Amino acid sequence: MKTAPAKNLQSNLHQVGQAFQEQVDTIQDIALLFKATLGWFFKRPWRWDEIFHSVVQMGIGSLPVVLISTAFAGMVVTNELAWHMNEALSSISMIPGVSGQFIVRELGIAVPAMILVAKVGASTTAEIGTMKVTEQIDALKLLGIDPVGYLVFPRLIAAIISITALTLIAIGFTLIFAIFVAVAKFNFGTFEFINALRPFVGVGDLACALCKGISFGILIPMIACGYAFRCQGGAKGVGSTTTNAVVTATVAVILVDFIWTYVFSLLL
Amino acid sequence: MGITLSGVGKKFDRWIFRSLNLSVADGESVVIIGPSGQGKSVLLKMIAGLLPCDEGQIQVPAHHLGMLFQKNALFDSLTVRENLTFPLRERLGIRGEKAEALSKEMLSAVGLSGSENLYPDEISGGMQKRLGIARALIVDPEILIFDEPTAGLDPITSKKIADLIRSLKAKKKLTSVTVTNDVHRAYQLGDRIFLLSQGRLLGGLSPEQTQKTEIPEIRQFILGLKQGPLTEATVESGGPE
Ligand SMILES: Nc1ncnc2c1ncn2[C@@H]1O[C@H](COP(=O)(O)OP(=O)(O)O)[C@@H](O)[C@H]1O
Ligand SMILES: [Mg+2]
Repeated sequence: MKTAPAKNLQSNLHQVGQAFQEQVDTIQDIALLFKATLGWFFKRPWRWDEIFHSVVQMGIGSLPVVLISTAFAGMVVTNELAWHMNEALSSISMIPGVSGQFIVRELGIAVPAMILVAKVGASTTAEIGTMKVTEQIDALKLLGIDPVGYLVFPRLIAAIISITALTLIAIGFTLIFAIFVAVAKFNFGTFEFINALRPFVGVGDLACALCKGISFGILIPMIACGYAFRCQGGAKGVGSTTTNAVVTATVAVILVDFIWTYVFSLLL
Repeated sequence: MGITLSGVGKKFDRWIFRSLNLSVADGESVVIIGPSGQGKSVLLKMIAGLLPCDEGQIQVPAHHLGMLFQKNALFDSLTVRENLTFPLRERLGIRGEKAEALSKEMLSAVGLSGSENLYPDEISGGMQKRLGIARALIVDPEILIFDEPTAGLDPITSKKIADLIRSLKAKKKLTSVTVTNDVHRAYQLGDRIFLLSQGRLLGGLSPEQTQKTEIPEIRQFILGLKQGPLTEATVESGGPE
């Protein structure tokens, strides 16, 4: 009995070590996969039908949920800021600047990014992971088809296009609903709001949003595919791999979001 | 087009098998039987070039190799017809009406006419196997690899599929390696029959000789005896399939 806790600790440590090693291996695989995928920029043919199909699936397919969530995010942020300013400063004249800047630099980007990780990332890992465990990927190889060129590269291109576009659309949409609340509830004029916002946002913010959008467009499909190719062990394996991919992609997106914000804070 | 394995071994966490030697002559049909979990599927994938050897080497001079996977591995986002036109386009560059005609012909050969527009998960297990066989054959292979072509099927369907494989093979004089646990199918399909067990390939005898052999492992396996060199641990290490 006395040795049990020690043994437990040891086996727990061993498990943690294994899980850590697994993560490191996966990240290494993702890097290698990214390199192989980049190689396809210079290879022909580009499979336009696959790219188009993925743009429809990722981009158009995610549009409704992105629009709904960003609309509510926009409304909430104006409302909350207004309440706080009213309490603290007894004035709400700063709403356009604060909420506008917050939306353009962060909220309008982070909210859709999280949704896209869940939607695009999860569906990609589940789809390709299933192909892996059902040996469809082996069947592709046997036909002389490189799975990277056929499955990953089209999704990377499609994700860069869709996610960048959705990020820009989401910023606009969040802002529109923030203005809507400001106008409807707090008696701002539409142009008054926009004019008050102008000094606080500029081309730099747009560039930052673009950089973030493109980065997410690379990170999400690469992490999703990297995990999928390591998938093993039937439906249960696909499930746990998808969860792991979503968790890693979420952390990666938040980290990269922070890095770009920091870089642009030095530049602007 | 013969196949030669010299001193082939495969290691995952442990060695699954080591130093296997096998040569399959041009036009010959070799059948491998054996308890599950012994590495039969792994061996087939190595012959197909899908897994690397961890020792030894495999020579497969075929340009076109067709394979039926144990779980079929059909493209589940494509219809039955597209599962055949896709390999034609990708592997042989055949598209359009020619591809349609070829796939139609193949579907009728395997008895799947009328299911063209269904998806793989909308057809029965036996039909999936036949589609898998059709997909292996459509690329006009010189070498065929079948992983348990009749597993999980009722005896009648299983006999039909084995007949189908025999007739299709006879037409083209193909070289083939088939894994099966169905002893009757092994007799029906094999020129020579091997047993893979505990990392060794035993036998290599004709169906008649196999039935009469005194090699204890093979005797035990084909007669389904409890007593013998194949211990319960080896028989069940891969679990039921
Ligand atoms: N990709 C893999 N990674 C690790 N182990 C594997 C892999 N593929 C097969 N194995 C192991 O190799 C052994 C043989 O598997 P398999 O070839 O499927 O057996 P069989 O087809 O004879 O039933 C099993 O123990 C299995 O767990
Ligand atoms: Mg097997």
